[in-house]
Amino acid sequence: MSEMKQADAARGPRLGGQGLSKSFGPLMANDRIDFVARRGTIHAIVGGNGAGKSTLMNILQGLLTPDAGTVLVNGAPVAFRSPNDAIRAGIGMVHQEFTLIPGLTLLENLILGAEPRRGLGAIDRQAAEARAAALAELAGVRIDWSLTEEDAPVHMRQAVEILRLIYRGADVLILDEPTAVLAPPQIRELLALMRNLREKGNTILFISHKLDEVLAVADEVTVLRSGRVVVSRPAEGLDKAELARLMTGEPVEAPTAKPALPGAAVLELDRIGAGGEGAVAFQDFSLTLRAGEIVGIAGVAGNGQDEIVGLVSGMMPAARGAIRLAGQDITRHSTRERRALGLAYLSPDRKKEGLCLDASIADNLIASHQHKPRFAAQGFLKPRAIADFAAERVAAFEIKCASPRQPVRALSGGNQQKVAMARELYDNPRVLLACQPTRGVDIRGIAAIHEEILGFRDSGGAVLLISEELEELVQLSDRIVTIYSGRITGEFPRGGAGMERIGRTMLGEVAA
Amino acid sequence: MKSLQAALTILFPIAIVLLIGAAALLAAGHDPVAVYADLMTEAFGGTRRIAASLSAATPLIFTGLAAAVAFRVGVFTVGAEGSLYVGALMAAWLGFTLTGLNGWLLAPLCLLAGTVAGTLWMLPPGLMKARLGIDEIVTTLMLNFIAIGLTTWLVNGPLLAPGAANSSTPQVVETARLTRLMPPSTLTTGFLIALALLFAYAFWQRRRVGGYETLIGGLAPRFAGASGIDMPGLMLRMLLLSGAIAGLGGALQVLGPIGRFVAGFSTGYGFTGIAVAILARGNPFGILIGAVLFGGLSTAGATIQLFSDVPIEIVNILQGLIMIFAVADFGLRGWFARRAGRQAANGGATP
Amino acid sequence: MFCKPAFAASTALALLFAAPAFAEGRPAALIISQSGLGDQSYNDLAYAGFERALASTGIEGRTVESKEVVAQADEILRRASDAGFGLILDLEFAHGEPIAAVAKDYPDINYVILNQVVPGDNIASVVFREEEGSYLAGVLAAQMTTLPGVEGINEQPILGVIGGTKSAGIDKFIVGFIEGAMSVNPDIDVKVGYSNNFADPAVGMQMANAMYDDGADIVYHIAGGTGIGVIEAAKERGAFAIGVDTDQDGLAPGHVLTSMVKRGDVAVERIVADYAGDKFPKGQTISLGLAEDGVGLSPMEHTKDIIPADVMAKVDAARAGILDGSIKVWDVLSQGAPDYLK
Repeated sequence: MSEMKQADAARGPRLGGQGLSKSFGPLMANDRIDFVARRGTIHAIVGGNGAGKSTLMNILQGLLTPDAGTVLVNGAPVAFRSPNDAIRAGIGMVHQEFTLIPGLTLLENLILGAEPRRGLGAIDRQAAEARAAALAELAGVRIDWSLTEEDAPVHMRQAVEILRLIYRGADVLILDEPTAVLAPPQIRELLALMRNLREKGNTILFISHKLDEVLAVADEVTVLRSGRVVVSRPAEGLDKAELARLMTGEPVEAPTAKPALPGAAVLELDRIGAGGEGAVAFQDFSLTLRAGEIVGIAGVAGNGQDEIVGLVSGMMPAARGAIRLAGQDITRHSTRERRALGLAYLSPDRKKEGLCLDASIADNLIASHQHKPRFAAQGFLKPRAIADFAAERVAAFEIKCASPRQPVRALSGGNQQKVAMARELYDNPRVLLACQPTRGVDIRGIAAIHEEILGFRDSGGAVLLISEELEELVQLSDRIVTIYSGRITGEFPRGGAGMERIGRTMLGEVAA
Repeated sequence: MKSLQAALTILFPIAIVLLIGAAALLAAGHDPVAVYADLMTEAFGGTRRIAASLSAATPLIFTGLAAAVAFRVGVFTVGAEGSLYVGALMAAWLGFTLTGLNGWLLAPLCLLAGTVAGTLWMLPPGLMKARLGIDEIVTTLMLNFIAIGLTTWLVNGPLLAPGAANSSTPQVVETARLTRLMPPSTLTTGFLIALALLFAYAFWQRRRVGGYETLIGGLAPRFAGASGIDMPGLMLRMLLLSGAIAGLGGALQVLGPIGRFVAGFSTGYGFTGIAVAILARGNPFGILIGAVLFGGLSTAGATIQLFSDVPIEIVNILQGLIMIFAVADFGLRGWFARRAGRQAANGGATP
Repeated sequence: MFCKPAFAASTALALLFAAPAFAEGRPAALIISQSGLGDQSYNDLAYAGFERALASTGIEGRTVESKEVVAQADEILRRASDAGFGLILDLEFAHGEPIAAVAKDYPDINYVILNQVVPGDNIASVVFREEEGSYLAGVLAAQMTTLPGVEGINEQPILGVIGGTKSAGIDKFIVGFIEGAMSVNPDIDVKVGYSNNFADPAVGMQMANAMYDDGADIVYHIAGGTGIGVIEAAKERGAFAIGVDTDQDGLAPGHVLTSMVKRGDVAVERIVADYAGDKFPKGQTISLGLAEDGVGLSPMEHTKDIIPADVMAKVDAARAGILDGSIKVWDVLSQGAPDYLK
């Protein structure tokens, strides 16, 4: 290849999409998506949850077939029928869950399935080591290849995940939220690794909702919202506030939100602190939640949300401070005791923590209530009462199912979340701890869930709402509290600040 | 309906095993049809043979149930064997020591002691699992070795029957022995206790709050925790219950067919029980079928030798094959579940 | 009678299977003990005798082996009794009580139990006078332990014996061995240990090594599989072991001085022959000792060259003494443990 052609190719389109559409039932996950990632560039795909990023990536990987439109490789349309087609086209993806195999060394993991061989089929260890070293040098990272998967630090494992794709011949690397698992210094290392790979001619699709990181490395940015491309443009000239606005759209006040009538304090976090295992130091955190109000916690993931959830739900022990529920000190109470006092908890991890997918709808509806007299007496369940209750809840929350005896797994995401809501809002809880209540839920489901949350507040309930969707927070919250690095950086009443200002405080700027 | 399904999940692997076994028999120069017919006759041909098979199935019902109750909440114990041994030894010890006691008093006392011993034997691994998160497979396996070693040592030393050359305790007093249901068969009231326990388990599974909590806890431990179920405590309790059931099974074996503790009296009932529980997928009716199947096979395997030249090894091979297929199918189910999960994750659509 | 009509079908089936055998006499069944065939000891030996007897008498026979032989004692014995067998030989020690109970219900069937005495009109009990063979082993070992010029032998008069468990059945061997040794040298030191286990060679090895460390050069084991470790230790140390039950001399050629052989095969062979000749010893206890060739020392294939003729002569003299009654060996079963072993 001549140098001229190389230079040409370096600017040419490597991977793209033209009019890509994909819908699941009524939900349009991808709606006529166009974008082009050029060879030797880092192209960021940003958007909130449910914006359509995952669907797009699955199409680019050959896991999903688009309903309309086409994937473009080197500018030419292709039809991937399986992930193997994508790999042959030089496209590889690093998922949020790693795929390295425990018990094998990093070197063995690197060459697994494509081992360099000597004459009689024996693995050529020297050749493998040489190629591993060359790869690490190319990427500018230090890797101890002799460590086993479980002994290697997380950023090293991630680097191996990436290098393994290059080893297999990929030059388009799709990285799905790669910084989510990393601490800040490791994030800087990863960004450096990405730049190095770009210099060597690789193309990187960087999926993220962390705006700082996107602006730090991306050459071009495609912003998705509600399955559509809002904008696809060079990163140059973009700032955080502009990007946040593009991601979330203009905030719309929910029409159903009546003015809040806050009553007495029901949940008080009094200078609590968590044991220091997380990435942020979570100390001296104080917050008061009143009856009849929704308080939203805004912040970039990993800035203290997990600690708030853990400490309030009782699944994480408090190292310091006190938590009071309805005036009673619950700092040392178990989750069950807290629930008995009126705490309800809508988990962000619906599949593992919010529901039991393999159990029936009825069984999911009575969870945490199973001891109550309506459902059991002297430890004996009342099947008739449970069936009646389930039918009643299914009707009241408009859960679409064939029968309450169906396993929850058979329901759509939105209906699954409605089951969880129907359970948590039963029996007049005092406080609802709602985390990512609409994650992975379609638009109609979102509206229904928002309505339930607002209705609960109107009937005197207190809601602590934690969400990554700024739009959702602004719509629902009577007060928004922004957190950064485990500290409160600002507090805004409903309508008291624009998205831009909230976004800035989310990123560490302390509101005056 | 559920029972039918349980029966089918058990019978399917057995059908495959019979085919493989037939091939092995043919290769070894035996007529598979004749051998299977003999096995059937010896296992279930007539009330006396059925009684013998049910008698052999009795300890397996206990160990199968012991495994199932722990598996239900996600505790993968292999410790039934150890609890069975200590329960059996405890019952035997009281049974030949408290000779002055009335049989109506002594028998329940022996059974209670065996149950308590089996329960306490699971306390260390239970606490280690609940408090420290130490893997129960390793601890319960180690405790099996300790239980077998300890009981063997005791019956070779302090508890050895006077004058005996092999490792066994003296006989339990006659009055404490269990009533035989169909004398002279060794089928005793122990089998009725096993059946009662299965019924109780079936009821508990569906109708008790504990049955509900263990179901949820086994299927989705994090969800159960978030719902306020004390998972470590529940795991501890179910492991203790598992030990209690196995210990009772051991005690019944001593007061029933054997009449004393003999070192090595269990031919791996605890491990066969794991296969029974997996084969039955925790369904009580399935546990009964699985236990009777293995019991019948072992009975028939012994007495078929009186009438044919089939070596005992072929019966052992059949048993081994059934166990393998029980677990292999289990793996397949897990694979299906994962696949379904992946589809849901990728597509957002439900399968 | 004892077969209810309901069982007639299966019994008829059984008769059909075994039909040719009934021409001469009803067939015989041998029930293998828990350790199973292939133990290279008790079961294998008895099985060999059974096969020889079947060949020579023309009686039809079956062997029953089951891991569940203990738990299913009654079921197996009754099934064999129902199935038309005329002679049932039982090698399982734990079948003492079950065989007594079953035998009562089948008065026309003959039962044989080994190594213990079970009363019953149609039961024959076979016991071995192991103390006699052990006595000879003691006579031999006590002479060898101080013999100069033999590699692996020190000058100290110290012997060792390891029993599998502290019980009368095992002490029978131990006391015979000590008596024999003391008949040669009244001041001899015989170290006694119990492994509390019949199946752990590692323990046997450990215990034997401890005895060798204390100056013993010959160790007699009565410990089944555990004893294999004793023989292994003798081989490693260049010392000597004495085997038991079967001829174990070949397990470590040159390091197993001799073996105290217990002829289970002879016992089984004799009983089947008696049965075939209609002379079954109903209700009797058959005691097999040196005189009946039921116990004895191995031929010492690998060690006879290092044993001087005068040593062998003394062993032969002791044997003659036992045979003519001038030597009475202490029997723990009938006499209890002697003072030095209490």
